[in-house]
Amino acid sequence: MQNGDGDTLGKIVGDDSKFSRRFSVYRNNVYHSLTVALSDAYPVVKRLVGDDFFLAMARTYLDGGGFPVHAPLYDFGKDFPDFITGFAPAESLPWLGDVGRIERAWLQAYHGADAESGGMNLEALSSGDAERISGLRLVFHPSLCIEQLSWGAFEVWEARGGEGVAGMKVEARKNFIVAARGMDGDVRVGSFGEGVFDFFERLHNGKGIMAAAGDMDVSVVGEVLGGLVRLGAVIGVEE
Amino acid sequence: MKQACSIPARAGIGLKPSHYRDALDSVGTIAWFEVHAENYMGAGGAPHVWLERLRSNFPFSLHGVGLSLGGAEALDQEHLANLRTLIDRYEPGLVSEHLAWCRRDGLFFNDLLPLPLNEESLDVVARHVEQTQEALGRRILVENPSSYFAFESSTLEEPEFLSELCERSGCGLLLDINNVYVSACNNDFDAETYLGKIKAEQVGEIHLAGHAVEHLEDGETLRIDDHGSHVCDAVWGLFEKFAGRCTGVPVLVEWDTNVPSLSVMLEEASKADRILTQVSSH
Repeated sequence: MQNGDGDTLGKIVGDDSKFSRRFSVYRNNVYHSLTVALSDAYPVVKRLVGDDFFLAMARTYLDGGGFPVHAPLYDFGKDFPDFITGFAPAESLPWLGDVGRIERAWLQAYHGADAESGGMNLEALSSGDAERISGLRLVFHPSLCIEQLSWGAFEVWEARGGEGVAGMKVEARKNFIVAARGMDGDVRVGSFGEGVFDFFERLHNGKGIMAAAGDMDVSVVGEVLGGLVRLGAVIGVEE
Repeated sequence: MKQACSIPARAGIGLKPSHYRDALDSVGTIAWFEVHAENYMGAGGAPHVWLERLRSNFPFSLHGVGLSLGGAEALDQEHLANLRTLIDRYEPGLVSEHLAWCRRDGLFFNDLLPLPLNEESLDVVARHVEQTQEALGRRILVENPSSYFAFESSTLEEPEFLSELCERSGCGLLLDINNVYVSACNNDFDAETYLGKIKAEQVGEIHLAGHAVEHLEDGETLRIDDHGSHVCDAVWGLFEKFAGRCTGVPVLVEWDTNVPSLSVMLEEASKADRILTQVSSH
């Protein structure tokens, strides 16, 4: 199909030129539908590079082994951000792959598993009782998705690749984003500094707040916890 | 394996996510709706929330596009299991798939690709349909495709192939009249003659849709099944004629690209309903 030799299809009625014209309808449909699927998954990337560039990039990705392997397309294009990072014509936008990673995380959170229940004991976090809080373990929404980034691409994504992006200076700065669908059904994405990644990982793995924080500054711990709650990523706490 | 179809013999619409909200405000004006199964195979989130709400308000049908019934390879068991889970959860009135293939060598092509129609392919497709019905625990409908060329190795005409498929596997036919017209124009056969060979009692649902007309470099005209416009007059004419001898069957208007407002789709469905009323009063 990709090569268009049609060998696997057998002969069709009509001459060779008719075959190639008719065959190309199917080939175009395949490429078109998969390119549309990629555009739907990566709208900000597409807006940043423009339709024609995106089309060429998608085509190169597909021909390089990017075809989907499953009928539901949820996982299709999962490694498209990695492909973008290595795509030479896009090297003037070295942070473009990271924008793609944020979009992928958003999409995964959008389709991620539902939480069975939410809001368990969340008020304990704002009880002001330091001793009680330090022993709490956070319960995260199962749709939660984490991506580590090399560039400060969050602001570009937040501006949805719109006009505000033109004046932005995107820095090479390690950070990570958390995407989650809150109990209200809305997906939110938050950006965090690399310095709190290990803390977050420990929380995510079920460690209690104090055990996860170690000797971290209390105000930083509070900031991260507040950020995660505002995202809707934390749906409850266990004492 | 047959069960009563809870879908009314009226015209429904293919429902797109952009219409979910409007659809819920239109209870009473939408006879039934159809959605693509593959769009509801995610773990959770909004698609499931909407489908749950919609299905409590309207009868609905699950239309699959990814099973590859016409492929030479074995069916994807994981996909079948996903389909079964979806059916058990939402209990659609009808389940349908296509006479086409879309998987090969572990890749999914996201399109409905053509197969030669002969005894060998009939064996393969009939076996796949039987396996599907077994796995799903219910009867399915199989839709005739749009085609852009015909194979030299085809020895059976499409109506004959479909009829035999229904006989052997116990499935029903989802007759897409736009597809018949598109294929007829592209492959120089007569759409009316084709429809004359369809056994009305095998038809479990009728599809109507619009298509695009493309003029190729050498002056050749090709009709492309893009579901992106109004149903054309020729297809309405074929439908009217066919509906006269195939009553009591649900009809669906599909519109999947350049999707218009819900009201435009409902007008198209009303037009189909008027024809159904007309032919049933004769």
